[in-house]
Amino acid sequence: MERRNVQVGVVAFQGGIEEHILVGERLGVAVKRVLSLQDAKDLTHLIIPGGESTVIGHHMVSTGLDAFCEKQNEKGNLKLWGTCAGAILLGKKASPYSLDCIDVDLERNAYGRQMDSFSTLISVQGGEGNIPAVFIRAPRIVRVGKGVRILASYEGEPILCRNENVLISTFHPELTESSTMHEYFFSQF
Amino acid sequence: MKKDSYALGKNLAQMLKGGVIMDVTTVEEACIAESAGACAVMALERVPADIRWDGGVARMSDPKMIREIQKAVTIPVMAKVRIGHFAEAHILEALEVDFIDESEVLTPADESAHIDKSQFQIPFVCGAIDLEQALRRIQEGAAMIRTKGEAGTGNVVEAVRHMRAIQLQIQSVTKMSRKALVAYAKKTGFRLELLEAIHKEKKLPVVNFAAGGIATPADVALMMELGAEGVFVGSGIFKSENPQKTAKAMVEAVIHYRDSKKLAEISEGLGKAMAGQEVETLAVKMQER
Repeated sequence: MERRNVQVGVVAFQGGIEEHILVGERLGVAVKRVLSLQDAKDLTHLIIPGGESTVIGHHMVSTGLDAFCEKQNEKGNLKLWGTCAGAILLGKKASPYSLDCIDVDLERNAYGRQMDSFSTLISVQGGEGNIPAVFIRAPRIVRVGKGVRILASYEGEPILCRNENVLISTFHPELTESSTMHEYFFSQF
Repeated sequence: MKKDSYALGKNLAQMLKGGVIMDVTTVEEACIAESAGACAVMALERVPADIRWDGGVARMSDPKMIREIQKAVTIPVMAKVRIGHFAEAHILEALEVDFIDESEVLTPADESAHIDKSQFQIPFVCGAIDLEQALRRIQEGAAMIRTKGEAGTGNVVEAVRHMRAIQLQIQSVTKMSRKALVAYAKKTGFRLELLEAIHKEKKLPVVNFAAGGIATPADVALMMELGAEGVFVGSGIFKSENPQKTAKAMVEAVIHYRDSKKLAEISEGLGKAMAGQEVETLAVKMQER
């Protein structure tokens, strides 16, 4: 995998943390657990994982990681990627803890309850072939603003978006065997 | 659209890791749990401590109460059915709860068989006292395992016993040769690929939480140190003197279980924990169900 020298962290309060670390291992990238501002200091890339956005969001506020992420991201020093709950936190409107780092409105649990969780194959713009995507009580992207590129859609709705410094996916690539999305985040941001 | 309910259930359990699942009996309690940072709630009519106190047959909760809690919170809602009571499970499936707990806390309905969980679209979590029980439940289709502990006692000793047993037995499977694995599979009837997965990953093939008797943030930290991936707290929150504070402290403890300074702060001034009971004095041991 071609990439610059990246320092990657994953917000480690709650949810699918280990899963991101394991994909990192497959790619030869150490992914560090982040529980405090101190942990986040030298990072170039930070993943906000899936889990419960209320739990993760609350702890990002109480540790000051929310303001840190916003500030460093705005300066371009810290690239952010949110999967599912993480996407809710990086976008707008879906949660009281939403950081507004990307001009996208999301709606929580928009497909319904666990009964409505599903997995499918998706094609990503610029990528080769399809990759598996798992949607667990997933949010929906209901509006995409200026300066935001849609990289993948499912049934006509965006599920993967980016701007200069932020990537959001409403699905979980870390729950599959594919490392494509992680490779993309580490090399294209 | 591909639909593999079992894999999706295991995936939901993965998203609950590092979290506290709280027993709640009313909409008000569910809201307290959510705002304190629960990653899911378990909707039931009486917490285990009250089930013990009241006696009688404990059954699935009134669907009305479950629906009201589903409306009140945005986090996953779980509910319990009696062991073997697949009709109760079908009702919970119709309600679209997010997880079903086939639980020894309720009065067992079938002493000969657990529910065939592979027939459901909703994932199941089941209790276990050792690896063999855990594997039996997984073979029946459980997407998540928790220790049984001894619910409603506020006494963590049984959860510790069960978690230690599971971890020790996982270690011994890890050390088995290929030949020994095959022989073990043959003897027990466990699917070889399940044993191979444990052998390779050195853990259960599904998420494993601690439950049963957890009453303080220190109990939470203890269970996490012993290998739990998260905790269920039943009576420990709403039978304590200050449920709101206790609930928050439990959530902090599961996140910061390795940070003893933080744990000291978290544990301070919580008021009285729930009154505990010695396991030897119990009339009913739920873990034997």
